[in-house]
Amino acid sequence: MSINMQPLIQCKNIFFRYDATDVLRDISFDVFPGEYIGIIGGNGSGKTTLLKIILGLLHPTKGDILFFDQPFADFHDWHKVGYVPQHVFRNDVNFPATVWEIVESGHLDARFGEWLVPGKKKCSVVERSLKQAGIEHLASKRIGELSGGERQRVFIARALVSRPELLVLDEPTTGIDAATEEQFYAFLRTLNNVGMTIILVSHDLEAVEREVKRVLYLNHCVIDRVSKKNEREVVLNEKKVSNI
Amino acid sequence: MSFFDIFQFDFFVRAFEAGLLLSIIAPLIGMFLVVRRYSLFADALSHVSLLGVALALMLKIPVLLGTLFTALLAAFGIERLRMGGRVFGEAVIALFLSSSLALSVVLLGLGGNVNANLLSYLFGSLTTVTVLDVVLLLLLFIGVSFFLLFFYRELFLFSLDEDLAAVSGVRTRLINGIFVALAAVCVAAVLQIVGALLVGALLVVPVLAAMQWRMSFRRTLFLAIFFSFLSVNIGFFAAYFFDIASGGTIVICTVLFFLGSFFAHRRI
Repeated sequence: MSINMQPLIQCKNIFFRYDATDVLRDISFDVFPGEYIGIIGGNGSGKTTLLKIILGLLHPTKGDILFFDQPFADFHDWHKVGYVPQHVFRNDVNFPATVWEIVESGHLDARFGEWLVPGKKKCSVVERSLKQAGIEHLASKRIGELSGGERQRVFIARALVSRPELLVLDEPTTGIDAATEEQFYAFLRTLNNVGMTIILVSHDLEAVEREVKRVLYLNHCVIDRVSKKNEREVVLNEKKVSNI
Repeated sequence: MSFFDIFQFDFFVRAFEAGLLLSIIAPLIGMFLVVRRYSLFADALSHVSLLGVALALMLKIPVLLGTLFTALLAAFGIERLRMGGRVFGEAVIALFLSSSLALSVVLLGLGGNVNANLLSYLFGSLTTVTVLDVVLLLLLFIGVSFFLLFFYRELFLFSLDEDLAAVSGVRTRLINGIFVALAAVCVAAVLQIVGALLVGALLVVPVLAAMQWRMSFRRTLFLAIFFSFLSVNIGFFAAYFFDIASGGTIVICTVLFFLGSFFAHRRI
């Protein structure tokens, strides 16, 4: 990582308390452009809270966050951010919306009345995102008719519509099978290879360690340790050699 | 008397105009209430509006002022409590619904107006529609239409997932505030036509009927308006010609559309 590169996110000494309980204590880290970061931890470790703080959905009890070099109050370039929330895959199957409509909702600069007659530009960016996520054949399907893996791709396609610089995913592989999970991680690698910064929150230690470039381990409200992919590979190789 | 002769009565023309506007406004608001699983919100507001009726009758001010004031106050009170997270959303609605009904019955009783006025506000009446009601509904129709044309994407996202909406740059509090205010005005405005006990049904049932056809969000919205429009018209004419309660007849029509859609879809 270039030392002169400006971080996309700077978290400085973040504390978060809910009622009288510490949820996060003294969390500090930076996220640089092009990184692929995993935040892992068990249930109740505070990883979803940390993610919500990173995105400005929750305000820390103490500490500062700079998001694209700005405090949240001054940040308005939401098209730079793609977010795939945790429960959105398990949404009500009766929600009356098609894949096209959900992906289209990621287009942030819609004009007055465009919901009645979508413009050409909007159609082309939605089509591009559907194609990128490999779900163009599902465009007219209702979201409730899709499998968990397909729904996940729909919300990623939605996040990609605005061509974000940062993609944030909360527990994206929950409830999907192993084969779909493998395809999903391959898709994320492709996005990261073209320069997109990705933050992935998961409890799946094995998959995240295998896939991401840097892991933040959350344990009992604090970042326990940080590991980089090349360091983990060295440890893994040493284990293999000692086994032989 | 021929079919068109009924339009010579001023009260019917006013009721008809109000009904047409209402049949479009109600599903536009109801759609977003249903998909947010907030269907009982309209019911709570209609019961609170009854409290507004009781207050207006006691203070001898226009009823519409009383219903608007209490519905708006309750709408923001419910949202405040719900967002605070200390009481569950459904429980907040139950709290407002039952307490306001109890209070309005006591107030109306104290004022000695229980029998005379309560029934018409509970079940609605064609004859009570005034010119002011029609003007208010027209303004509401314009307000709701413009709000949707400007903020459809924001409302859609907000209904899908509040966090997703916030990270997409939607000012969720502002959008929710405007929406809740429009819902409150809508309920207060239609109280006299459909009745406090049936307002919720008019907002919700046409949407549920349309949802049975499993179409896109936009098409579901237009189909709900279509069902609502037919229900209000059939209900009005049936109420006049067969001398039955208008509010109840309109809501029965919406329920028939729901049942028809439900079974038709099962066959498909």
